[in-house]
Amino acid sequence: MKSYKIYLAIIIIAFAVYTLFGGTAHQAVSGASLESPSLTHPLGTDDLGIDILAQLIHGGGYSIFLGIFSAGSATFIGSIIGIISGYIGGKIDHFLMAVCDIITGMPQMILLILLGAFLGASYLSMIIVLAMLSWPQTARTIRARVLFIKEHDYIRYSKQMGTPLYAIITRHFLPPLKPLLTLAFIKMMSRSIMMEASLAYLGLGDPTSKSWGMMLNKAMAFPGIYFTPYWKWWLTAPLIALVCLILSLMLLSKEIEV
Amino acid sequence: MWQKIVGTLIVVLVLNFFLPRIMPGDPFNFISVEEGSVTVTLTEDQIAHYHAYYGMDKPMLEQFTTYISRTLRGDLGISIYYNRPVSEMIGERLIWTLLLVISALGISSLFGSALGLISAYHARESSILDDLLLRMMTILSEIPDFIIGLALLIYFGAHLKWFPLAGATTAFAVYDSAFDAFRDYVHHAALPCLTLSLSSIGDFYLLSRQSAVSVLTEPYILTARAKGLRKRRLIFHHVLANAISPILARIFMKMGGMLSGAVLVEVVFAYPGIGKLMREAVSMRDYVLIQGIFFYVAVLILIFNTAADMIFKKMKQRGFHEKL
Repeated sequence: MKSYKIYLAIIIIAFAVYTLFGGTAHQAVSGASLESPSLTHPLGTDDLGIDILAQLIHGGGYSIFLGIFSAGSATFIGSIIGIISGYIGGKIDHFLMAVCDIITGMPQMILLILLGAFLGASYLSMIIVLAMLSWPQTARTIRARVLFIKEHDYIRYSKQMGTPLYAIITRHFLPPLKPLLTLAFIKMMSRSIMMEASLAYLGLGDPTSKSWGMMLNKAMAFPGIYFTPYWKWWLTAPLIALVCLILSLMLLSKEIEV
Repeated sequence: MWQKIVGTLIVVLVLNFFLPRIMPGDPFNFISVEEGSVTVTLTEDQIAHYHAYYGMDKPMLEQFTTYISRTLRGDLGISIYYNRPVSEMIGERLIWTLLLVISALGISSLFGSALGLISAYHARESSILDDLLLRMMTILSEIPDFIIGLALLIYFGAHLKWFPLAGATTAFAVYDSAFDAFRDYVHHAALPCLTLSLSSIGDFYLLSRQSAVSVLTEPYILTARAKGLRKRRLIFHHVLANAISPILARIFMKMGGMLSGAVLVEVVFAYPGIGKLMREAVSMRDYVLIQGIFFYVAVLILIFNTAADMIFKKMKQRGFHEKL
């Protein structure tokens, strides 16, 4: 049952090795176009003759790092806003929660398409947009938790003794919030990866990247892909990789949840 | 609640107006260059003429106020690329999307909650059925909808050739009877609808299982059991009646998410709904059309969310909150 951890580890290591040693195989033409799987090209080549396994490894790293960065910043923003909102309360709380409501009430996928189309989809803008769209969920769970912790006596004592707000937050609020934050981080990571893949599939991703969504997009754009045998490796490889990644993240979050 | 509705509307309007205008390039630059070439087909004068025609030469603030007043009157403008009224185009396409979304919502909520009830009933005996269902549904609810769609398309469309690969009707078809037409629609809508249903069935399953399990621990269930009520009556009469409100609220909440999901699924199956229109509009840089679609969808989602909020409020009054 722990096999998903091995899968996660393989992707991370593969990407690290690949970038550290300056891999460019995901861009270089290394064979005839549309070769079927063989020893030199374990997953065959695409229409330009680029090795699909190399693209797959590169895309895995791309997705994982995108997930880590966007989920990281979303967790950071969400936890700060959640703590402020829950701890200070009053008008600030009211305002911040209204902002959360508005962001979660938007058609997110369509907003993402809009932003992707208009702001251009560079790696950085993608991370920023994903973070901006996904912090409210964390903020809300954190706020609820903070409201609960706030009522404990030790917080009141510490406040009466004149502990500065910063110290109260880091010493008293963050430690009990840690499991909640880890969970939020993993869930957001898989959501970001999914969103990026969806956008790239629509052709709105970073066109220079070889993310899994982009590979799907290229394969689907190949004329008559279904009437050829090529989809068997070109289309299914990124598809299966993406599903495995999302499922392993889900299993990881389930393990933490319990 | 009113403040939330008004706030969302304002944000949508502002985003809608400013986003296209801060991006580089404009639609006339785009159409003035033939695809794949560098020759310019519109002269400077012509571009200036079009700018004036669409009111894009006026100051930003003036454009903004005219935009707001027009939108509130229901006039979404005329598409720059297709040269047709936007509301008319959206109206045509929206029917297809709503058809998909509503039927998928019906299927997934019905089957999802039924399976959830069955599963909850067996959960106490730690049965294989419950375990298997729980695993399957959790996995289904995690996989993104366009991937489910692609998999179905590859297998049932391309491999087994049971269903058409694209479109909502057979091209140039002449139907003998209304029934034939209906059959053609269903045949085309089957896979996209199945995709949307599969991607949201897990949600309904988990919700109904959870609320049914919590209802099953209530003392009145024990009483009902002790009275010797039959299993079926127990589930549908006592458990379902008390577990149904959260499911109802979820249906409305899910509507928004599904509209977004439908965008991708429609692109996968080349289904002529609002999502495909959006994709076309984006690639043509058709500001007016994109704004119109965004506005329409945002308002629709707002309506559904408000409905869900109202149901939640009703439930809270009746003391259901602890089960959510």
